Amino acid sequence: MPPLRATQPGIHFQTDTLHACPVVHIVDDDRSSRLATARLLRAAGHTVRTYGSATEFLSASPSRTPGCVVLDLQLPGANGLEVQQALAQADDPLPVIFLSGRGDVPQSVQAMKAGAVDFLTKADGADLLLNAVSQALARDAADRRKREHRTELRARYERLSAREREVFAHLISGQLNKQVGFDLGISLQTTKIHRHRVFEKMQADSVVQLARMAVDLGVDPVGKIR
Amino acid sequence: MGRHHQSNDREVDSEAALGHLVTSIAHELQQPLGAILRNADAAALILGSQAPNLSELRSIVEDIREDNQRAATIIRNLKARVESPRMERAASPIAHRTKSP
Repeated sequence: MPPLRATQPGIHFQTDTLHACPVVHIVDDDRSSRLATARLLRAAGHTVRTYGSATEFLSASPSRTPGCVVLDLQLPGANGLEVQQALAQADDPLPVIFLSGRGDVPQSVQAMKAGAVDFLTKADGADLLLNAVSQALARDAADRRKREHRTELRARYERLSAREREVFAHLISGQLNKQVGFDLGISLQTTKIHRHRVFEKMQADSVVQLARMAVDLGVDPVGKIR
Repeated sequence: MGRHHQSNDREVDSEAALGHLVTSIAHELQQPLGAILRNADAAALILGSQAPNLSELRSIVEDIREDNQRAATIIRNLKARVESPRMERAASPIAHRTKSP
């Protein structure tokens, strides 16, 4: 549960996220219910934005900044599960916590399978909701970091020349310089130079680290160890 | 025999109708009750803060009162809905029989 803070928007909430203060989006067509949920989350120190309909929410492009969604399952027009699907199309899909009038088992199963953080009823106490929100924000921050890291790796990989990429693929198969040079038909000296450049451009300290990057990048090893 | 069947069917029908009514009322009541709970939880958090925002607390109390009225209206409407068909049913012989001691 986040620390208790006075209701001053903007100043509070400290996470390890790289960017702006995360926003908790509340989508609920019942005005009073929406307002009450917003008050509770604000009192717990969160920055909150509210929406009365699925359309209003989705047209605000909420996934562009860190945060999470507290989504009413029974919205007029669009069902909450459809909103979840629409959100999933974004580059950085926000984690979803469903609020339902009743505990609908088939729908909750479907929601959880599609990656929902939690499925709560409106009768559940504050602790459950606040815990779910903290968990959702932590997940969003971790997901964003992971995606950012992958983007960075891809940018490094793009900087490698065609030959350096070949050397990269051979190195991660566990081959020694000599074997790499033999497979590629280049001298040991040239292989060493390429190897050095690969390590430098990828900012790697070891072959193991390079291999881990290859997994993230989806680069397959080439060549056999003899 | 035919009459016996008919009364069974009617019982099943009215049970289904009752189930449907209960579900829809429960769903309707969940909105104000949920809002009351969240508002009370929010108030508790605000009261625990260093400088409680009194105007916020005042609107919370107001909204709790309004949602209480909303819940009361739902129950009042439910009562009206349940009572009117019973009066119609009083005209049928079965209902009449069960009613008289």
